[in-house]
Amino acid sequence: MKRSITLNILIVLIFFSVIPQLRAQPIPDISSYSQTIKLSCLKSANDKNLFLLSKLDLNRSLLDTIRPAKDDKIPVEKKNRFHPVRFAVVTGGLVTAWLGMHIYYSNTWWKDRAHYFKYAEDPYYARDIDKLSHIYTANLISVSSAKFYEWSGLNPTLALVVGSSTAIAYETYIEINDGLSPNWGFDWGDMAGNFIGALFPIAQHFVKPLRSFNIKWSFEPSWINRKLRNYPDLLDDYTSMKFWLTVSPYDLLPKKVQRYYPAFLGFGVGFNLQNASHATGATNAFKEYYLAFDIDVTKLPGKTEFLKKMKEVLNFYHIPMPGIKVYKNTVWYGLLF
Amino acid sequence: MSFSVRRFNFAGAVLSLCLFFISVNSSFSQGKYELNVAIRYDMPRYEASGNDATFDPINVIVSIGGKRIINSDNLSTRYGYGLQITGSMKLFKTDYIKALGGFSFTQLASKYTVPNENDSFYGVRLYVFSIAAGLQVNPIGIHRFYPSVVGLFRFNEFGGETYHFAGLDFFVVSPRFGYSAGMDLNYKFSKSVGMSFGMRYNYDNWLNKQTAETNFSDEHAINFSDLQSAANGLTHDRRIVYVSILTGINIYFK
Repeated sequence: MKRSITLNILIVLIFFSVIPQLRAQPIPDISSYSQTIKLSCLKSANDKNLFLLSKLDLNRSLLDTIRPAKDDKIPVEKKNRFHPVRFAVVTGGLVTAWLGMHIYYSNTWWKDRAHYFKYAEDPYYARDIDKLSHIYTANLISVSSAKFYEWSGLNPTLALVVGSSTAIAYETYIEINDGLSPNWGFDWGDMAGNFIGALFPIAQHFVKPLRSFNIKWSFEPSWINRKLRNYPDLLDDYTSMKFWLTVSPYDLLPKKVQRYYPAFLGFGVGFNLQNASHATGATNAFKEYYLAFDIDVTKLPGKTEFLKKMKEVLNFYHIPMPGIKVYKNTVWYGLLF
Repeated sequence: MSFSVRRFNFAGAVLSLCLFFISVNSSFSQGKYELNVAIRYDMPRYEASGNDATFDPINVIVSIGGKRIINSDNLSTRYGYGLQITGSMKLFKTDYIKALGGFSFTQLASKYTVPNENDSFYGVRLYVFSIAAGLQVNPIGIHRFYPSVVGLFRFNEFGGETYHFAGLDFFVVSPRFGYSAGMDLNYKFSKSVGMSFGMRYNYDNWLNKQTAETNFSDEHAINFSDLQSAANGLTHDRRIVYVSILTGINIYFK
């Protein structure tokens, strides 16, 4: 009996040890061979005759069949020319925006600065909807600043890394100042949201299916009304905002189905907070969940580089569409802001 | 119905492990740098742990064993979790010793239900942000499957709070020095990716304990005292110790 147990263990262990060896072998890179064929064909033929062209096409199609083009995974990066003046404009603009926000916060959230630093978690006051705000904001800063850096001549990957770093640096700066404010604290949950939001575009860059998912924001018209009246805690007014996780299924569909599906049409899950404000507290606050149609702005017409960049940034806003509140009660909306 | 208890076949188990090790341990060419991203589950020990926190709804205070957290005998946390990112660099031509550097975040916490209020919670949260440097010893080098022993000296920014919905009393964040020691079992899926599973013993305020006799910085902001003195009300030192189990992804660079 003991022997059989030991034998079983051995079999299991050896099985697990063999699994890695059974992995699919990497597909041999035949580009060098095909290149040799191409060169030999070119040498043997003085002119590009039909036979040679068909041979080259055959090689290409063979290559495409065996090894998918790298373009499918990572977009080919154009050779960018660095523009120092544009870069200075972008950097200057970001620093100015940073300073502007610092002045705004200094007169609101960080008005009574403390002489000590503390950590604190605040899952209660906004029922974690503020975490979605952190994810969204970091994501928006990451992508929009990356677009500006790209415009200033950085290659898209580098621009994205610099954009994400900008978002993390800015949001960390906010969090540190929260830690120095008596009414707030350095919240590691917020920091997790910042990192998720800032790194998500990089993940999207390298993992193609993730590009079909987006984080969006929408607001009710009353939010603008409050803004015009200089209502306090404007950026903290989660009751007038919704955060959306949207999916644009077009790229995920089989090509046969794609022909019948409008590329711009997506769906979203929305999150919102009710019955909460700094004036009344959050004792009776609760979350609401929504389902709605969504428009993927990047799939709308417009192919110039400027329009493409513009559409990517505009895609952070959830355009009002028909939807339904699914929790706490059910309400149908013709247009859900 | 009868059950027979069999003795654990130690020799068989060792033999099995050896065979497993030999069968999987094909050699890998090893790069100079490595990155490990791991998540941890932490189990508080000594004065970090406890289960005697109570909530006073009239004064809105969380007490531990009848004392405020300012000078309680323990810190009454029950569990914890963390994230750590560690980079390593080969020091010599061999893979036996590597330099480590990294940072981590830890939260030790407890959550109690207010009696007769099902959706009302209170408890304690302790936070540690660490920057660490140390050594990793790989006794058999780096192969498909290899163990490693890890020692880290850590600079910790320590803070915490008691809470009932929102925070009540806050520890002012203050620095401490500590260490982590433990071992990992690593498995390489390929030349560039692998995973690790391990455990650590962490002592976060090993050095630089403070009496912090002037305890209040603000009405609810408290200086963290962990060194017993006649004036600060502590009956003994408070050690922030926890044992962790962790699992992570190893990324190997050339």
